[in-house]
Amino acid sequence: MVDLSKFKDLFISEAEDNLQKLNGNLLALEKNLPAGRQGQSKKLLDELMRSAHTMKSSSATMGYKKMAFLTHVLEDIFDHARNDELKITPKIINELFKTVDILEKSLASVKKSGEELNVDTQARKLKKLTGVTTEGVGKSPRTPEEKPATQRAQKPVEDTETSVPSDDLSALSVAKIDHIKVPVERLDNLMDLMEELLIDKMRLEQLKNKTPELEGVVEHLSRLVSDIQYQVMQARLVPVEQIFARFPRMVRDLAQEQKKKIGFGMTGGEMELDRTIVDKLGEPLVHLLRNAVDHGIEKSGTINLQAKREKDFALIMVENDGKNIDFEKVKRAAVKRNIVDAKEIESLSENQLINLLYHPRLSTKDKVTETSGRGVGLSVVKSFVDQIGGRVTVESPITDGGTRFTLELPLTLAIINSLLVEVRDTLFAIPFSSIERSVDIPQGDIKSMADQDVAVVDGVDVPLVYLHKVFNLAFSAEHLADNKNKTKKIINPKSSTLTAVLVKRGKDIAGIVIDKLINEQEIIVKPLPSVLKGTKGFSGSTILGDGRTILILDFVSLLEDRSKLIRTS
Amino acid sequence: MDKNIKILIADDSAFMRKVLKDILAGAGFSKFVECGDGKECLAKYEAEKPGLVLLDIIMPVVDGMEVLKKIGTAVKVLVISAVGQDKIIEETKQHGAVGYIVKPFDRKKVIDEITKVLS
Ligand SMILES: [Mg+2]
Repeated sequence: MVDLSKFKDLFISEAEDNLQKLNGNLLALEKNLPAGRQGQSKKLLDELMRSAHTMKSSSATMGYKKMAFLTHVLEDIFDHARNDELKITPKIINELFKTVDILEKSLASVKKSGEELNVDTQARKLKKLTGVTTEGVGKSPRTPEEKPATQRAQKPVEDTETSVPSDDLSALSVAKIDHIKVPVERLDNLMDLMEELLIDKMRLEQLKNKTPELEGVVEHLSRLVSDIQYQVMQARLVPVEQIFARFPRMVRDLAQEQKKKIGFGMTGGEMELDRTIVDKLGEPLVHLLRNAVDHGIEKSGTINLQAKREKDFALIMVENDGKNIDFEKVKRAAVKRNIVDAKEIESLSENQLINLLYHPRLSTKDKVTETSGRGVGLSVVKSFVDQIGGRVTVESPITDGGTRFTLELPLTLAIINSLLVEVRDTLFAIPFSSIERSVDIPQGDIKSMADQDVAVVDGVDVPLVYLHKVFNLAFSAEHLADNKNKTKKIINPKSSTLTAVLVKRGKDIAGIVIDKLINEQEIIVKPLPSVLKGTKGFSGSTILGDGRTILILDFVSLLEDRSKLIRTS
Repeated sequence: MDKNIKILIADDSAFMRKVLKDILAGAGFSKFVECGDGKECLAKYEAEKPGLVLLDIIMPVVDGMEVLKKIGTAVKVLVISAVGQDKIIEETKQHGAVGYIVKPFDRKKVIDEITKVLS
């Protein structure tokens, strides 16, 4: 007997590829239906037949007989259709899509428990609908001499169009294996080891300062570690296409369900992101697309999904050319669901109003539909971007009406460049991505406006945030004792300058007043310690080379609360 | 039987190639060349000059029957395909195939057939 367990992973990933191809080619086939573009359909049917055929023989080899039989029925349908013995109708297309779904479920079950699902009903349904008379896949693996009982019309299998003239032979080059499939787990392990290596690198860099002989080797090692880190990150990148691939089918199904005519466009699928992000991206995008179908498009319109790489981050946009967001309706729903008090609703700022969209209990739909109607949709989007350190923005209306949601995502995860700063003996890390620059601000340039301090930097008013006040920090007793002898710089209104880091996010700019810039460092982003979960102002924590845990500042959430800008003493 | 013979495994399914390679390795063979479509198969054949070809029929770009027409008389070709129609089997024999195994196959059938072909 062939020991099959070691082939299961490959079987599954190949079957998943084939199901995706089936979906894609069925969508294309459906588009060709009304026009009667037979020439184009022929090639699609060839490919559909091949995918079904491959899946059939692999399933049979693995002993998944029910899937093998169902894919055999598929193969026969496509085979008859490409030989003009069967006309593919919209009804058949729908049933074929359904079959792909059922196969997906069965495959998921194989993945989970090793058992396929009983898909015989679907096979019977397909046979009845199309008239194909498939009877069984190759009888028994023990007696392969007995041929599978297909009732297929007798005709040559080869396609003469695709043959290569023999004189082409010399021109062909040998293709080397240039891609290998690696289990995700191995890449994750590599990443974990990488993180440990980085910590050691930092330790060594500290030792180097005390032991000059180490300098050369530590510098070389640091460079190597950085290069390896880059390569590990590269190896983890996957194209977002992997997630995008299922959306044309999904939008098509939703549109059909709701009797809407929706054109769906996708661009930028080749953009690569860390696999952890790509993995998590599916659900929020499902909600955004579903939302566009449910609320954006009334009868007919277009939905576009776009991925775009910017310098330091990636953008993923979902837009529709239908309706704008009805904020009056949002307000009513928020009051109705007791999210906001009726008395306060009119005084909400634009930002607060937009934030309502992401509230877990909000729904503007009168009737609860499967996904977006419950209002959980957009809160999923919000928590996704929060989790990976990105953000979501919404524009509604866009130029000619319609709505656009934009996800701004980091390209990779886990390791970021940051600036370490000291505030009243406490260290914080500020991600480089949010820093404009650091400045020394002479006292004379600080204006006290109402209850807020503003510094004039290059002619622009910059509100100041005193971190020690925000976090209620004070100097330690030792520090104060030290301070009597040495002169450590502390913030006090009488000192001649303040040190501030200018941070920018979107249109917001603020000056974060600190005591001291420490250095620039690569840090590994870890989740916040559980006691601090949900605390505004931090995006995570990191462990320094000397073992100290410090917090990473997050100015998006920090500056959301405008009261932080208010000068309190 | 020469276990040092180089075997070209032509199948568009990586899963299928892995299963076949496993069976062959279990029987003591060790030199394998793989390809995933007919065109690649013809190229690998030219470059590697294998002593035996295990050939799938339904493959993209150039299918197995076309490959067979070009190399069927020059090298021993054992067809391994899920296509089980007599007419196709007959046609492969005409183009020089030395054997035909219908998928799904079992380990013993593959080994027996290869032993027969190579001796
Ligand atoms: Mg094949």
